[in-house]
Amino acid sequence: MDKHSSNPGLEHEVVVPKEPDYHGHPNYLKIYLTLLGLFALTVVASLLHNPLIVFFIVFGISIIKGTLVLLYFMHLKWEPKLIWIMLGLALLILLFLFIGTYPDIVPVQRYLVPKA
Amino acid sequence: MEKIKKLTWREIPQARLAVWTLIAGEFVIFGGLIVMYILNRLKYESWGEMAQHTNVWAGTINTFVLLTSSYFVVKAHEAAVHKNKAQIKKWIWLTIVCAFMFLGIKSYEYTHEIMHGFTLPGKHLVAEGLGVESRYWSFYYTMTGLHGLHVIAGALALFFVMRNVTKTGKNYQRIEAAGLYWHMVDIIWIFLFPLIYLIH
Amino acid sequence: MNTHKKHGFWHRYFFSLDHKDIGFQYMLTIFLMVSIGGFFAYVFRMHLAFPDMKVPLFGLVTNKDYNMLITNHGLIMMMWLALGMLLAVAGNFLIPIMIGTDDMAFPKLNKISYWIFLLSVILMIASFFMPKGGLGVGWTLYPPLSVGDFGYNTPYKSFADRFFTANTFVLLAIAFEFTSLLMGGINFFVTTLNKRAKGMSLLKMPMVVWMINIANLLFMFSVGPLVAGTFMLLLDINVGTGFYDAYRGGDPLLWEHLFWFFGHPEVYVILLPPLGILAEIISVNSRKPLFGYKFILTLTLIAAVLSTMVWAHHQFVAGIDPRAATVFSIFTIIISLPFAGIILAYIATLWKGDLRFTLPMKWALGAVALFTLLGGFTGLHLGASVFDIYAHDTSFVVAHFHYTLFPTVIFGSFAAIYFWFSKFSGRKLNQTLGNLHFWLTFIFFNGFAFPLFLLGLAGQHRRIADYRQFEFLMQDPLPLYRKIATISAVILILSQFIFLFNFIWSLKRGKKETENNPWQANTLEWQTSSPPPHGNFKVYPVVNYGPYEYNRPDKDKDFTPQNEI
Repeated sequence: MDKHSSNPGLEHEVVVPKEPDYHGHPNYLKIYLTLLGLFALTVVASLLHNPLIVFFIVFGISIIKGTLVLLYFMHLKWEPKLIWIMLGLALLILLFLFIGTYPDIVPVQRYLVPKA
Repeated sequence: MEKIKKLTWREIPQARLAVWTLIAGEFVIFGGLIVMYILNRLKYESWGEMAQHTNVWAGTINTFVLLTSSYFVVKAHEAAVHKNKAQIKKWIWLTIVCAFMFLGIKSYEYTHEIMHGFTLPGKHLVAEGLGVESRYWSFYYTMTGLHGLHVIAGALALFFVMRNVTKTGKNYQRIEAAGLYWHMVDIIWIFLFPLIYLIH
Repeated sequence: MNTHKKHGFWHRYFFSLDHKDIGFQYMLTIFLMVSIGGFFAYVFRMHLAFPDMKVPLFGLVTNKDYNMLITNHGLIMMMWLALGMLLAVAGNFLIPIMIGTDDMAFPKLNKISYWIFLLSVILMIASFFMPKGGLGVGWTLYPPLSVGDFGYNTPYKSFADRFFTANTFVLLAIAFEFTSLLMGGINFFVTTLNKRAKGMSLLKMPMVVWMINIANLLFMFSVGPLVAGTFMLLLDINVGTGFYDAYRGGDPLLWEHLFWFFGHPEVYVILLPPLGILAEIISVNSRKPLFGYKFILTLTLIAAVLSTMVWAHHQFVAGIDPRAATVFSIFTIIISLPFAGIILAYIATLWKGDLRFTLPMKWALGAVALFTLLGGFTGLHLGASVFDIYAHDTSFVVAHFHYTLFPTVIFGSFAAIYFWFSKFSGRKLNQTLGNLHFWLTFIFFNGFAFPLFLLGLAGQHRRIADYRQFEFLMQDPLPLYRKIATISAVILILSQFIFLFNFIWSLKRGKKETENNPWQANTLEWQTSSPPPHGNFKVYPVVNYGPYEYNRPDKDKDFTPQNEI
């Protein structure tokens, strides 16, 4: 990593490992084609009739696609655990938001008075 | 794949750590918006009808464009690892072309939808008594618009990083950092596309 | 040897990349903001106690003025003072130097963060001068009131009419401020992970560095939905979308959830850095190691996670699902436990210590006492939804949050300033004035806030401009309490001028600080000159000890600097 002190010439003990090729390069083409394949599946699945099944398949495939991009294109597979934890926390917090707000949005029956 | 020694958190380069932190933050921002959209979508059946007025073909092409651009950007990263300036330029330019295509198709979609009265304020819909349905479009334009802004930001970042790196021959790791941001934009679209266009 | 030419005014106050200069820039800007917020408090408290009086320096306070004053007081103090002082100022001054490095990981990003913060301040101040006046909807900005009469059910207004309003400008100011803090947060986090001195493991970092970073991470993760929500509110105001429009299936409750989802973690965001500052000051002034370093850290992390699960306790009476209210109530009561543990650890640090009642120590002890006994306990009261149904929106809540915020944010900031002033400026603050400042602030803060508990229990609602409409609120001794609160508040505010004078005078003419380490502390900033040079250290330290090695039996001094061989 490049560390430049605003004061060159000062003794600066820096532990900088030479960045090794820390991640093997997965076969990006294979991943890309897999993504396209899943994408095609998504579009086909959306033509099914049962909306609930469509929702689960489509959303599920999105999660898989997103995960593939994260793991391989963004090299998350080789990143330190810290990054995994940060992303996990982000997702967790969204889950809290969803659960906490759900009862006040979805099941609520309110009369919608039309504008006079 | 050979066994590669994983980096520990002590060794992750600054630029990557910063971008991952930014990505986590952006996930929560978009996530907040998407969660609210999902909750409202679950509640209002009639939004499904509105979703049918979105242009599924345009959305499909756009998804293809973004997925491909993600592939291009990762090829640019590969080129950066090998310090191949010419290849970096080629792949990043291809990515930026994809960004333009995405924005172009989005503009076409927006124009069509606006001409049919599905606008952001949704006045025509409200006048027709479709107030609830007009909120679908509030979310639609906000989510896709905010996403579009990030597409522009990502493309600009990639452009400036490419220029800086190919001119000075230093800081090749910035290509990956900018690429990470671009992948985030792609992932958000991966989720937006079915949520908006496909589910009826 | 470090030589550089003396920097000019613009460099020091605007262009500098040095984290200490940037911290100072933030601090001055925040002093400006807090002066405005404090002035507003003075005006509306005078109005509450003496309703028909022309308030000196303001004039007659109309109901509309009152709304504007309380709204902006709340916004300025919560958003700009608290977040700014405790994240931006504390982080900028303390983090690089306490971890033994020269500057932040991204100095230019740091500079830009300040500029965006300044922009947010300008937008906020500009909002007072908008055609329809300053924002008067309560600092929590609930729609449809905050959408104003531009939104849903009114005839079409031009975009300019909607844009040039306090509503829009305040929201934009908040959005820019959040951007600045997000950028700063990334900077602080990367700096802390990547630029620590050799030998400084994470568990050898001073507690305040941990606290600021955890606070920043908590901020970053919880602000997202509010950023989205603010964007939605801006669109509702300026474009006429229907996100919060009940007529179109929207819900004001949606905003409440998005706001408080951030709003609750925010108060812990602004609590953690002062707790860190208190940890430093208490251990130095007790000449004892901080009790339970890992214990405190674990509790802080637990509290941070829990804080994202309690937000709807601000919405108990807003019409949320009562079953959800039960869950939120339980979590709210549980979250008191980790903080109680942290305070107990601080008390254990004090226990049988060689106590030095220096000025920072007085502020720290005052903070611990008031925060715990009056702020924390009343939080338990309010956390129980049954009591909150009675106390919600009364002055009891106002007293509670002033007793939690003021001791931590204000006393904590003063403790930090009195502690680190001579380090960063090279001159000493006048101790006599400091003591006067402390005692006046302590006494009159209590004089202001305590009556508010009693008023709240008597049923006095907040955000009411004129209590004379309510007969039951005009019975003795309630008006007297209001007057006591107001007069104390006024004296409290006036006492801050003592500090301001002391601060400015001492910067220019204070006694020079000759020692590097006047407090005989361990942490790295005390092992360099006062003020530190650009780059902070002439020779970068190598850390061998933890930050709280006081009174080690194997050492003859009662303190052990972290970089001692």
